[in-house]
Amino acid sequence: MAEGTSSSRFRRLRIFLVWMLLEIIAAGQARLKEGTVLGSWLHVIASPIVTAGRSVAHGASDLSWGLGNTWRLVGENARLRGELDAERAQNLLLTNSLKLQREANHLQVAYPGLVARGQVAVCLVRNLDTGLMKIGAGWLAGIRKDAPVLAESGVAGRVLWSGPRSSWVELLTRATAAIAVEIEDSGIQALAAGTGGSDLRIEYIPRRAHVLKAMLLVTSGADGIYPPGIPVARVTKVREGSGPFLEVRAAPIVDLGRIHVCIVLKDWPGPRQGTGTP
Amino acid sequence: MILVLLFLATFGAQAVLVVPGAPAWAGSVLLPVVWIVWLVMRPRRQNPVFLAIALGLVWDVLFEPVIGPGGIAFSAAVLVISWLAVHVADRSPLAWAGAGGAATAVILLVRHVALLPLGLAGRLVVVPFFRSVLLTGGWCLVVGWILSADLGRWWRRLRTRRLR
Repeated sequence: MAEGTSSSRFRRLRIFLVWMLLEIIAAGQARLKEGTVLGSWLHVIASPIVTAGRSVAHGASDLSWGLGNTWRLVGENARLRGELDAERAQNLLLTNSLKLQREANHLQVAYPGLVARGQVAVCLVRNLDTGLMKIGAGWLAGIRKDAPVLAESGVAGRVLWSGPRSSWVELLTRATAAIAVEIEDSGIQALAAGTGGSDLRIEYIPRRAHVLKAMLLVTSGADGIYPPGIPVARVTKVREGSGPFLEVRAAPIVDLGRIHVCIVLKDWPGPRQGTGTP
Repeated sequence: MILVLLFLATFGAQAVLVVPGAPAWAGSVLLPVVWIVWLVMRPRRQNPVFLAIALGLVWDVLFEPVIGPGGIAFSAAVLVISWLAVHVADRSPLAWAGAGGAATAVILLVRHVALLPLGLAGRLVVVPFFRSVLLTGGWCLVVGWILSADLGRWWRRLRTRRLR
């Protein structure tokens, strides 16, 4: 039964194909103005294929051209980005350099007599917890141990250890630091000692001394390290204790956390010669 | 041999019917359709479709502008009549007439459809269409009656009567 159905289907298909062949043969004979009907059929069938092929070819060409351009643009973009990054880095360096130069100029204005004998140095590392700061100048630049380090507004500390191209500076707030100072107005001698915090402890001021808040403490030069007359700190707290001296606290004039450039007095006759380690 | 002669006579007569000067209705008769009916009505049918295609191609060669649509139309007529012959178990002259009319209708319709994509199809007018169906059906009725009347036996009986 199935075989018969299959045979019948095959027979129908065969007849249909013969009909198609006959129609095509007839179309090959029927003539139009510009050719045969079969030719027009083939043209109608082939035209979309040719058009589609041309469109695909154009599309592929455009795509290739676009990809090439995109690739070139990406490369150009990467190159420009690189140049821009380099320019930004250069700009940042120049900005920093300009900033440092300005601070150096301020230092020269602040210490006109000392700059000629000093070395301007850039702050490389700063740690207020340990009270140490690394600067970009060493003994190759004439920096020696115990050389005073000044910032724009006053004393920052002294050189603790000097290498060939860098030095470690002991900030005046370090617990082991001490500076001989005097009250600017009255000339009372004292010692400003670091506390390990952010302020200084002013010692050896007699109880009868006239000390008020906001009085300025300057170096006295009695320690032989710092030149006299340089601002160190300003009194923030005065208290009479049980001892023979007043309990005085003072805040450093220099904002130690914002030092970028400092000046090291290398030819100051006070400091003792030699190097050491922090 | 007789079949070949009759075949040639059929197409010859058809050619005569369409010569200029013949009556307009004469061209409506499709004499070769009787061979389509014969292909289906004969006791042993073998490849009637492809014989009908050959018949149609001969028709195309003689009477059509292009070769092909006639083969399609005649073979389609054979298929339709074969389907009818399966469902109508009648071989009488009337059956011949009905088969001839149906075959004519199918031939005219399929030929028209086959010529449409070629741009050669004219208008299919109703009156000539049915005139052709009726006349060709009548032609097939005549042939069917002749075959059923068995004229050979009638001629032999007539001669025997005269000899007595």
